[in-house]
Amino acid sequence: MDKEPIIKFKDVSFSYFTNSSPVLENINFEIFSNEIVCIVGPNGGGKTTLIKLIAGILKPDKGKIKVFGSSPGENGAKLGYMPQSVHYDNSFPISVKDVVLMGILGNKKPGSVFGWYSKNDKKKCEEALSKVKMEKFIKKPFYALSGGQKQRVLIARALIADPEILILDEPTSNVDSETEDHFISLLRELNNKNNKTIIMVSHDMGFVSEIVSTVFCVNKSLVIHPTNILSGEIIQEIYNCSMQMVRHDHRCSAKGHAK
Amino acid sequence: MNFALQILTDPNLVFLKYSLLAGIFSSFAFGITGSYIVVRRISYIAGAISHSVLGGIGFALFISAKFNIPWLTPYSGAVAASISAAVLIWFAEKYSKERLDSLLGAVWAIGMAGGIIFISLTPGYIDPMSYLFGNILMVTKTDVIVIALFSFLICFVAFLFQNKLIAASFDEEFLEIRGIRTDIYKLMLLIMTALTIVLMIRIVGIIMIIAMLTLPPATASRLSRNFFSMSIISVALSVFFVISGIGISFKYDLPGGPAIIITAGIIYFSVLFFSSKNFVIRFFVNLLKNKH
Repeated sequence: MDKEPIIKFKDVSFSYFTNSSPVLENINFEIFSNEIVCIVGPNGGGKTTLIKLIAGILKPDKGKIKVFGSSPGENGAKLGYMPQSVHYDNSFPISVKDVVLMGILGNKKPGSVFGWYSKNDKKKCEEALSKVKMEKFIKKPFYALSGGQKQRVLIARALIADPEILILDEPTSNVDSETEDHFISLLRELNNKNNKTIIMVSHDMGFVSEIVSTVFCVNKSLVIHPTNILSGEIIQEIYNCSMQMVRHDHRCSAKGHAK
Repeated sequence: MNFALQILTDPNLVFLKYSLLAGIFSSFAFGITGSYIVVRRISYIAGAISHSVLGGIGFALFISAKFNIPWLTPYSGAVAASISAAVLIWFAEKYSKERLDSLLGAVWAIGMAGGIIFISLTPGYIDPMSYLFGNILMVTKTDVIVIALFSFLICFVAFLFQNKLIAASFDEEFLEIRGIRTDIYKLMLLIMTALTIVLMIRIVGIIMIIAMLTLPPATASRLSRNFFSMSIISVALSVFFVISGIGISFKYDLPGGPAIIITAGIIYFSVLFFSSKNFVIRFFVNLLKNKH
């Protein structure tokens, strides 16, 4: 792990309207290269706001944010972002290929004022799609895909620009367990082989505990937990209500419970 | 289409030739800008801009007559008003926390009201109807040249920035996180819309422009799977609506603008019906089943 953090928040507070109570208050944390961090918390707790602050879309009211040592927003090309697929207009006529190629637009290169795609970009598009096993769908319209397929295409779009940090918003919100397994192995590979730093927002605690090294619990303030101590009590504290827990670490058979 | 050839070659029908050429040239801008308007769902913004144009026309007529400035034509007033309205809407949406529909309502109505007041203050009689509903007979040779140039300019800009314009229409948030200023592309699109609107005032009139911006692309989107084919089909449909509308108006002595719009409307609803035919039939079958 590098000594210098790639993302650093110091005493950051943010509110959407002046005079209203802050959404985030006194946030302090550091994220180092090659970490996998998961942001959890209740709706309205400030998870998306935190991501937007990292990306520089929102500016903090108080405190300092550094991304790669400079102000956020200056390093957009180093960020890969995957939003939730439910946000999209279901009648927008756009092909899978054009959605993925969009990921390249932020990379600064000579002649990119007009945003034309080169042959090399198109090759990268095919590679990114094959990484998420969606290469057969390259010519299909995006709206014709299922929720999980859309999510995979959006991952490919985040990967095509070869970003240093991957930000994933609810990556498993509407995918089946097979796709989820594929996601887990893909994220592991990206983290181990390609040294990507991964930040994700998730409600899926089972998914979280499997691969994540650190959990940020955001509910106006921020508490950092290492995943190995993530217990029922802590989860309950985060969401401020009782939760159903499903254990994944044992199996039920006809003879009863077997560990 | 024989009719189109007849008009273009008959020396007695010069006025129709100009309106037909103006309609065909402006169709390129309409099909392409309209496609963005439809996929971004901002036809109400286009509506507000087009209605505000009457304010500019009225103002130009008034100032031109009052201070004897012959070069200040209603067309230049229209361009100034539509671009100002586009920039105002963009600015207000970006910096003020006001609800967009309230703001658009204000721009829409104030533009119309201002226009009518200025026209009534202008010495001599001016009929606002020709601006509101279009007047094919008013198209001149200069208009055709100006329309062709503007239409080419709009299409060229749209072609040059196509990837960024499509991306910004599909997912603004993603581009912003990647460090691309999407507001610039939104402004570009609004200015393209403003200029496109001015192109067709003479032919379909201020009130019905919104139909020409939305009906051809909306019909095209039912027949295409990506943005490129949608805009090509949309241009082709615009050309078809203009030619057949002007043809109908010539043959049956009807006003040109409304004839174009009615043609476009009939085709739009027919395509809508046939593309969701099974759904409609099932609906009525179920209705009958439930009755018995």
